[in-house]
Amino acid sequence: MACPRVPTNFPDDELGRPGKDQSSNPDGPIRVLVVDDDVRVLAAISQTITFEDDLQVVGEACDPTTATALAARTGPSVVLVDVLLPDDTTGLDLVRRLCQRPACAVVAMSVRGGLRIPALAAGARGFVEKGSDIDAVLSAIRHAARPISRS
Amino acid sequence: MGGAWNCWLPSDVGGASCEVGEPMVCEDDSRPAAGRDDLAYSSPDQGSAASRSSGEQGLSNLARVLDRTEDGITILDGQRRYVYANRAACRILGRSLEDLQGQPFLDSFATGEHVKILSHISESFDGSSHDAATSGGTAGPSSTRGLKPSRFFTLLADADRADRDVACALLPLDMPGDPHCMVILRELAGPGIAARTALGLVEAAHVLGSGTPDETLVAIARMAAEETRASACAITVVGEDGQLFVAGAYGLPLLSRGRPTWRANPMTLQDVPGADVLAANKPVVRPFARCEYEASPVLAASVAALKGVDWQAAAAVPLTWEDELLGWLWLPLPSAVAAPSTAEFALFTALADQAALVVKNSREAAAAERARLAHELHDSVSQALFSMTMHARAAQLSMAKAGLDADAPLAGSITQLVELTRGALAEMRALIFEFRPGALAEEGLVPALRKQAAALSARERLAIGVQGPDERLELASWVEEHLYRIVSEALHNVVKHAKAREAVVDITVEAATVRVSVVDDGTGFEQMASRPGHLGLSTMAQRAAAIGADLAITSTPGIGTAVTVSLTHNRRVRRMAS
Repeated sequence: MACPRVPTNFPDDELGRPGKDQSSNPDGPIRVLVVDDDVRVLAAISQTITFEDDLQVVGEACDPTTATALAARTGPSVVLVDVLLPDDTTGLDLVRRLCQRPACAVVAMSVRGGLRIPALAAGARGFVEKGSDIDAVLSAIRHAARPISRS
Repeated sequence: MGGAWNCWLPSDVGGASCEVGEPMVCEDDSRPAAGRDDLAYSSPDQGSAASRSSGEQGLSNLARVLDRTEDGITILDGQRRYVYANRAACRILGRSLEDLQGQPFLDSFATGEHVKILSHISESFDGSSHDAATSGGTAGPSSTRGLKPSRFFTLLADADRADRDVACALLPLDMPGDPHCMVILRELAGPGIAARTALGLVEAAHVLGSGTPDETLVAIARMAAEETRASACAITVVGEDGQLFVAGAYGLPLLSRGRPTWRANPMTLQDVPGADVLAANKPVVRPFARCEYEASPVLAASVAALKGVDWQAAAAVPLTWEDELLGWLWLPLPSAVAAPSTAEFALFTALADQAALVVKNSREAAAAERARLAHELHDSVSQALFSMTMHARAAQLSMAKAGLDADAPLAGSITQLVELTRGALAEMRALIFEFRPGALAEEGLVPALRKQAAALSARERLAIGVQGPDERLELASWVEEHLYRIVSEALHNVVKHAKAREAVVDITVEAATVRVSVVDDGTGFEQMASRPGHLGLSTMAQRAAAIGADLAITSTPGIGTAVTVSLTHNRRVRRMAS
């Protein structure tokens, strides 16, 4: 007896809210929300992501309030958050709140490498140091977008 | 004769207070000897049958009272010679009244003190000349205008014994003719010395906090020089790089304000004679300091300003804070003075403690400020560089998409931009470890070394690889500091001397041993011929010893060099012999 086929892709609804299963998303690029209080960085990241076909910036935020609101509205699969926003307490707090959202992975970033451990402890799926390795940022986003395997 | 003369004895200096002219009942019936014309006085032991006027009677009574007091009371004439000294004064001065009469007052005091004493005398007489044969002052004899007492500390000259501290009260006597004065002497014993020190401290306390640290130190130096026989005072501070500088000075021409230009001839602790005693928090007196300093190529420049000043020996009193030597008060002494007196040392020590406080506070303030600046600078510049890197990359990708030739000028410029930005970012991140204390502890040794390598690599065009474990090493942060700096030094050598193409920093952990090595493929050096001072090898050795690690340096000319630090856990730290 054959098992019924379970559909594996759930397209986003018209409001952009994600489908339930994020295991693979051949229908669309990974939706990324970028949060950084430095507008230069925001602009630069958005610019960088436009060159990547599998990534799409769905929103830019400079502070926690806007970030939370945009996250609710646009339903990103990955949120790239600067942990110093402008201080680590605010940033880590935001990371924790965002991680509570279902099907939402957070990648933390910072100029300070020492914040790696606190960020991961707050629930971030990945951490990148703002350095010269831009590809590291992009792979961290892609890696975080993959579903957590339940074994 | 006699006439009305006013004098009063301030109660705090001692002596009996009395009114002249009032008849007093004396125990014995001594009479004044027929004496000199200007003043009648005598030792009460002399009796004579001279006629008594009531004035003379009053004077002789006064003399009896004065003779009973323990404070030394002397009277000087207009030429500042002794005309009278009571019993206590004779004891203090070590001479009999006959010996003293007619002798200059100044002879009793240390040569270095004469200027000070004379200026006090002339101040008291309000500008009247101290060597005047003419009657002093513009005021009439019965007016007390311009006459005021003065108090000061000074030192008796004593051929047999060490100089003794005395407190003096000088009271000008308002009378016709020669301007006489009374000088009351009191020897300073323990409480007196304490009182003098306290006075100095009270004055220091007024100054502290009312000015900038530099102003306060200058005021402290001034107090040290003015209140004692020292010719001058320089507050020398040990900078954080180990070099010495003068933070405040008094009496040194050209150095009283601001920093001297010694940086061309930097002095360190090792250059200073007696530094080991100072490091043990003890004051030191170098009897031949002038010769030592002027003969030393390193130190001569620092005392050039004192050429015209009379000095021979020098005292140094340490400034310490929690066992750390911050610097010292340096006091050149006039040639007549072999060493400071007990009271002077007490004052120097008290002032040194105040100065230490000032230096410590300003150092902490400076460090905190530096850390804050490093924070802000790093964060904001790093953000900018990060953004630039992304834009440069985007530009490269655009070019590729547009099919632009990699050899085109535009492509070349963009590539340069990418490289420069990467280098700038790497340098920024490496600098942070120099200026932000705690940054190394935050990130860990291996990531820090990676950053250092990246920065050097970008700047010097030398390929530097870092191989090490990802997990944090279990090392105390101060140990990591030393290891970081040893690698710094080693890489510095590679860059400066090795002409290498590649260097590798390797960190391995084997059982209980941590091994950090820096290997390069450069020219190497002849180990037998190496001079320890060269290549900073001794600094690396010192740092290794400080953490109880072994340092091994092997080099083969033409092949390369390897610097290896091995640290075994639970090894007892060896104290570095100086």
